Amino acid sequence: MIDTSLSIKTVRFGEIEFSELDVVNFRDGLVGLDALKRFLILNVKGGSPFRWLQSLDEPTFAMLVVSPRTYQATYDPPITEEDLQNLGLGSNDSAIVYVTAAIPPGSPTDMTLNLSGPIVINPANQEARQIVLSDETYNVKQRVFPQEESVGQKAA
Amino acid sequence: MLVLTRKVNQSIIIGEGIEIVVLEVRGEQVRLGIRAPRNVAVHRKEVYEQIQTENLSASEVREEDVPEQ
Repeated sequence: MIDTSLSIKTVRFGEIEFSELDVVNFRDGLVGLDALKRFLILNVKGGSPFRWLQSLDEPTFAMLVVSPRTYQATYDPPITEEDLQNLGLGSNDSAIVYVTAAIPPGSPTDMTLNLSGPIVINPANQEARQIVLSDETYNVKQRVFPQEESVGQKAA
Repeated sequence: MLVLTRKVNQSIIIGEGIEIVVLEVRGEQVRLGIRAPRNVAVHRKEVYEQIQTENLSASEVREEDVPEQ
């Protein structure tokens, strides 16, 4: 199979070239955004643990994600056998897990992670799924840095 | 919206293969049982919406705010 080079013009990152092998496929899309199914994982500059999940279906859409163990070493989401099977993952296979990170403008210490909706990727076949955890162990807006006491107002 | 009234142990069938059963009513809480094909996701609405909101928030992050370490 000839691997033709593809490219997409993104809003944040300009024109990006990629191959079909780079594409991560969410069969059922993202939660609440089910039309967005095909994504690239882009590195953030430096040695940052963050990634951008860049949509190929909607070039203006890219979500900030991070490996949850970067900030929460004990994160162990209860992913069902069925979810693993849907991705083609056996119980001994390693999956890549990301969670979304929200950072209010200008306030990196107010960053929150969504630990209730992890994104699980099977690197062997590039299939992915955003899983809605059914129990309430984890927070959808989990702070990772202690809350600062703000003195006066921050400039936007 | 279609509005139906059910008693405990009565069901609603949606399309083919989705069934919602009223299992128990206790005070303000209603316990529902849901039968659906494996490819149909079923979630509490507020959790679903919260995750959707966080997805959108994560797409609005400014690049300059992303920690580099």
